[in-house]
Amino acid sequence: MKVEKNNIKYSAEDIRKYLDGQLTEQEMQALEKAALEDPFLSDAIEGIRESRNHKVSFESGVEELQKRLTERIREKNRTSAMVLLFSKWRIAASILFILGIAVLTLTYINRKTRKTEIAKSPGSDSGMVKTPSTTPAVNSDSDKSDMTLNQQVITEKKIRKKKLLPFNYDKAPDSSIVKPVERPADYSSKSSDTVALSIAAIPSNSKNKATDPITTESPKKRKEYKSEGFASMTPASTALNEVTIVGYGTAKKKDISSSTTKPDTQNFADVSGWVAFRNYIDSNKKILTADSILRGDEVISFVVNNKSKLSSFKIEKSISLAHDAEIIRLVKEAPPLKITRGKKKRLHISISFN
Amino acid sequence: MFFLRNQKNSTATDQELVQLYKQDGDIRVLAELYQRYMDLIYAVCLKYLKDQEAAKDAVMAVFEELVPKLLKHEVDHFKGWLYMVAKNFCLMQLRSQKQMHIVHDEDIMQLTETLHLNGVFEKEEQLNQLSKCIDNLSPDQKQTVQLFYLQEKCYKEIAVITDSDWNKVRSLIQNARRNLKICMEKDIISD
Repeated sequence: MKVEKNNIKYSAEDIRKYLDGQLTEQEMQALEKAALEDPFLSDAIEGIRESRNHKVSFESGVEELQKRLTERIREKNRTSAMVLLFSKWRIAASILFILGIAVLTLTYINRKTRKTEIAKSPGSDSGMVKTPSTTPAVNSDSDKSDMTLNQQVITEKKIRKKKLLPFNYDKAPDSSIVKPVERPADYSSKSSDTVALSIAAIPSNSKNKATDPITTESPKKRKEYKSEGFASMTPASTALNEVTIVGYGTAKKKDISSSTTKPDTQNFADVSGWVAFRNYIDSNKKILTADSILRGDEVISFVVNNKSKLSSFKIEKSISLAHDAEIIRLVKEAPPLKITRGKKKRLHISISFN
Repeated sequence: MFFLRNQKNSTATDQELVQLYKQDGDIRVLAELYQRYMDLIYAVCLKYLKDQEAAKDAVMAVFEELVPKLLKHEVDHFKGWLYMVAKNFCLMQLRSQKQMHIVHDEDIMQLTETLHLNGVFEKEEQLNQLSKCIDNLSPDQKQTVQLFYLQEKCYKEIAVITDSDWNKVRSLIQNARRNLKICMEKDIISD
């Protein structure tokens, strides 16, 4: 029983005592008087009197209610904790997403910048097309190269007159013929081991079994070409481009891709149309996906028949799926190749992605 | 209440807790306030619903009603306001169950009656009128009122003196109060 501002504040316990007759007569009368003034107390007294008609006691009912209220508060706290937890996860996911976007953007920008630098920087070792005057190594051959170009044009005319050139040779972009190109850095010390497909790159090595249209001519005619200055075109071996035709000439296993060890690649010389084929691949190769950051050589082999139809593509060395798809696309879309001997040949080509 | 053992507000007044809840919206503060009257609310619900389980559900439902209501309403006297919320909830329950009984019984009307009577008793000049009105009551009501208010006997004592039961004494007093109120209002109008 609490006294509050001259009024007695009755509790359920006071009511229970009142109903059990445990209060004095004065206290009982005071409570009854208060109940007449306070409908809340009056109803509570009647409610507790009502509870005595039931099996379960009023006190046990109150106890259960206290448990339910406690559970209700815990539930609320759990919900709040869950909301907090989820909000933390949401923040973490947002940060990861932003970081992901940032990495992709940086990769893209980096790739673009690199491409621009490669295009602008003449001293780059990327194996891209280079002017002869930029590198000392090439500089020493620059005069020769210029001379080679002139001679090459003259020679082409002559050969064309003699109908010795492959039918699609004249389709090749002029730039590919007139611009000497730098060898990839890997090959800088082994220029004699691998041979570019350029007509000017035909080695004079007698061991070479290459049967380029020109070299298929009789030794007499070959001498004739040499006398016309053709022999001076050998420095164009530096013109090995990113597209490396492997298995041609005297390549050694340790120097180049393992695919070159395949014996059927020795038949490269029986195929014409390489210049246009190579130049097309050089100028069109591109990887638009994130795999473009991957560098290296991609080697593909395929069969070409006497109707210039390509089949049985096989990726011999893969950088990524994107590179595989790109190399197959390039080979399929490139100007046609034609075999000059036999019905069909399996060829291997290597493309550098730097 | 074990979940409130660590609470620092156990000595705070109802009004302080109401203000605290309005500021923070912390349901634990409301729970502390509610548990002070939860047994009485349960008793009230028992009175109206006559069923223990229904009364318990009603007590929890009233708490849920308080959560938003107390934030919206200005409450000066929490105990009285809580009683009205609980009683209205129980009456709505009864109405929805189509078990609505007579609402305007003497007990429910008691609050207004009491307030009016309080005003009357406070006025010295109306005491004579009151004694006149008491004289006009029926003999049973007059005897009971005199025993209860003047001699300050409790229901139990009056029941023994008048040789009747507790409920009859209570009913006599409540009816006598109503008649006195009517009598006093008549005299005021006639004056």
